[in-house]
Amino acid sequence: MAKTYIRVDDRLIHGQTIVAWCPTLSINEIIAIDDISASDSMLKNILTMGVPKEYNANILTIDEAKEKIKEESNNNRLIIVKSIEKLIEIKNVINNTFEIFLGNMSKRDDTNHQIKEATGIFYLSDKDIEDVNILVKDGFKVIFQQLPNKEGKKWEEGIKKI
Amino acid sequence: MTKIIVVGHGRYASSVKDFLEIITGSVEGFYFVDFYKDDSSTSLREKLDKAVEEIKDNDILFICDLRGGSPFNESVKIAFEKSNMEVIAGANLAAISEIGFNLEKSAKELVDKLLNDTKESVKKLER
Repeated sequence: MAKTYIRVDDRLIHGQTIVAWCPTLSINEIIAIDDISASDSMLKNILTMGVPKEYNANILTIDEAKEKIKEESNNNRLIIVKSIEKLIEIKNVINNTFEIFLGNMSKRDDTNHQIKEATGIFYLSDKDIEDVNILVKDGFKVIFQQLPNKEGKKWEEGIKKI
Repeated sequence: MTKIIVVGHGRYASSVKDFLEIITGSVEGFYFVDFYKDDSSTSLREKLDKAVEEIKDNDILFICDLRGGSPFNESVKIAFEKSNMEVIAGANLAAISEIGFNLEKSAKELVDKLLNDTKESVKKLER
């Protein structure tokens, strides 16, 4: 049966996605969600031109993505959002059989926590933590994991020291 | 006249620099931008903008390590609407080492040369 995975990565589609994640998870369809890139045909073009055809990359606005995710699909899908805030915006169309991998989450003005329990860049704000805690409570499996061949850390273990 | 910006993950660009110094003895006309683990696409873009600013009156060719990677994506964003700029990803060292002797050519000519030389220079053991 086709599987869907979710990734939070502020670089959207980039080297790690194409070289590591897509082959490891046998992805046939990428749904990258970013209103800015999706509304600018040049940016959209730039982001898809580097992606091998077999991964069938879609750069979509949040509304377009919601429609797309609701459609039945036989493809293994990788949904990518740039931030936890966006993850919450698609909460109603995803379900807790989808694993959520947290990846590149760079420092922002409001990120007062850094997770060092897992390998990778994980800066979080209080709001991010609050939001993910709700998802975890709803049964979502959330994992700190930058690369598929490195061991991931479960959300609950990653934020232990906060 | 074309200037070259080499950009890639980790010490890719710095290593290409080391390689060129040993193999061709010159890196004149080349700029090297490393993209480290703790860089963001914003800090990468700043480094690239700084290099471009210095040489923007010339043709510019971006040589990137990997298609679809952040160094490639950011280079393409800069070059997309500029007729004097070209981008290539995945060129090999044999091809890159010939570029330094041909910098009087346009970026358009050089990018085609790189593409072709890379294909021609990949070699496996033949028995």
